[in-house]
Amino acid sequence: MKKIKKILTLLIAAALLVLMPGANTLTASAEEPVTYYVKYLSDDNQWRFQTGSTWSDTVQHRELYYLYQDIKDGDSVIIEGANPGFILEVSVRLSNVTFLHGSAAVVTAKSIDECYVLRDSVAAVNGDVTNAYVYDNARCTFNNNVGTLQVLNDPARNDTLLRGTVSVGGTVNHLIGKDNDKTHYEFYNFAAGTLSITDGDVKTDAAYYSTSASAGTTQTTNTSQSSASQTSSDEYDDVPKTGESSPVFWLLGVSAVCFAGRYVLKKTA
Amino acid sequence: MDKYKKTGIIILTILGVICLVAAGCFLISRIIQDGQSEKNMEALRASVNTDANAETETMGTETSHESHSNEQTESENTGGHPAENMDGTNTSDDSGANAETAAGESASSAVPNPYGDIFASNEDIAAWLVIPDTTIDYPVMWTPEDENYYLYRDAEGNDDKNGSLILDTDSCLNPLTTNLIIHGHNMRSGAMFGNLTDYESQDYCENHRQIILYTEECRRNYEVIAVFRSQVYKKKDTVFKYYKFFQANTQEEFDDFYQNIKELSLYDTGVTAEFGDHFITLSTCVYHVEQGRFVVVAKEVESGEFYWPVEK
Repeated sequence: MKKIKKILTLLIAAALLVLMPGANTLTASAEEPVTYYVKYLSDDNQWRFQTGSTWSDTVQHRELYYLYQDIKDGDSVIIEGANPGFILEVSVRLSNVTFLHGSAAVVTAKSIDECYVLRDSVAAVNGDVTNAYVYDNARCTFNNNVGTLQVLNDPARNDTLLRGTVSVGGTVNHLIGKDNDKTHYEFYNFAAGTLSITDGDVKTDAAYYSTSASAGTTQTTNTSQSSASQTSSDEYDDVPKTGESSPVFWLLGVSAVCFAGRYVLKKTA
Repeated sequence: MDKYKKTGIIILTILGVICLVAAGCFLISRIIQDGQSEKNMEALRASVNTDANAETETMGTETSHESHSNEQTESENTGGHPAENMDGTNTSDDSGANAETAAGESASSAVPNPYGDIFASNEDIAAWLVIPDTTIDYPVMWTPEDENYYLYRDAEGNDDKNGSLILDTDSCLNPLTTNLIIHGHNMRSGAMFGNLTDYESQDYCENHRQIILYTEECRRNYEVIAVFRSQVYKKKDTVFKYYKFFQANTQEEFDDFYQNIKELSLYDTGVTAEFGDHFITLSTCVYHVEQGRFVVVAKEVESGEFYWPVEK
């Protein structure tokens, strides 16, 4: 009797699950990327954030604590404000970081896909950047590697001058300086820690980069940060030494020489 | 004169014996270290979740790869590795379509990562490299802040003459660079890349042309495209430097790399590539010249399954 009751209960439960809308389907969904708009509010005297790509005074803003809690791989961050400078330190990959006009901030991330530094901004970026865009007179320091760096003019101005000031601590695969109409310069394969641009002009010694895109025949420079200071061209490229250094063979060799010497001496004695 | 000779004989005898004893001590210590190192590695390998694929099967998820059925039978012959599925077919023609293997895959096709526990236990372990039917079955360490950190350390950070396989700091798995360069010691014991030079034989290559790289996100399957000897050059040298190629943003960059490795290759592997393909380069020291290197380049072919996120 008990067994029949159990079976009936199970059958009813199964029937309910099948009939209830949505209960019979298993769905999995990945979290969508979120854009965080971070802004310095002088009235509150602190940095606050909203989700979304624009700031709305009618929407409630939140403490940065919640941003640090929620931020994940693939999210984007927009920064607006300069006083005091904003420091964002996260260990995720950001798909986009934008420093709006006149902002000042330091951003540390695992990596950044796209980084925009707009006019009048001062920025420092820690973490590899795939594509970086520095506009007008923005000043930016990238402390790690940059894939493609573009130094651009400000379309709002009526001139084509490049004014950006950029330094890179890592390597830069591709540097482009251009305005709306023409490309001012285009260089490749900057050695680690050598790229320096002041007021739009490339100050790096030509020995540290290539003027053509060829990967194999033009890379005479070193891509390792640690050896950026090594300037002697007689040195070998910095590649891990993967040979086996064993003193055993040296010792056996010395031993053999000693015994050979002993034999010769004994024979001539 | 005889007195000097006698003294010389005594000194040389003592020196010779000291060197001989020291060599013996080093040798014994090395054997003990190798044993310990292998024991540690075995312990790490033991934590690979070989049931992951079985779990996948029971869950009924479909990885939708043609080779999947072959995996199951092949894996039985390859030391229990969950995805040593190489089916022996020439996949060289499906190059371009497989380039962006990590993108666009639906969450529903993901399976548990057999190396998930290992990745979770050590953030420096970027991947796990397996060449079926060889001794190459090791974690790959990535420490961008100090490339050589694991050069003489095991995966747990203990001193180890064998070191670990290290992913070049300019290579990156996420986002994936065109070329992933992995350096490993050429150990006489055969550990690490000690047997990589076996690829000098075309027959050996044909029997071991498949290389698998397990990452946190997915399994990447590669097929050997070129095998050659090269060297580390001086900074001033303007020659082809395989170890400088990480990213091909243009057709020219790709062509330069591709043509050079094909020209250098000791034999024709029959595998071709085109702009957009991804590569793995295994590099180890050899001594045909100063700073010599033996290099095996493989092209990514049909992708393996995608994995659930690793919980850290």
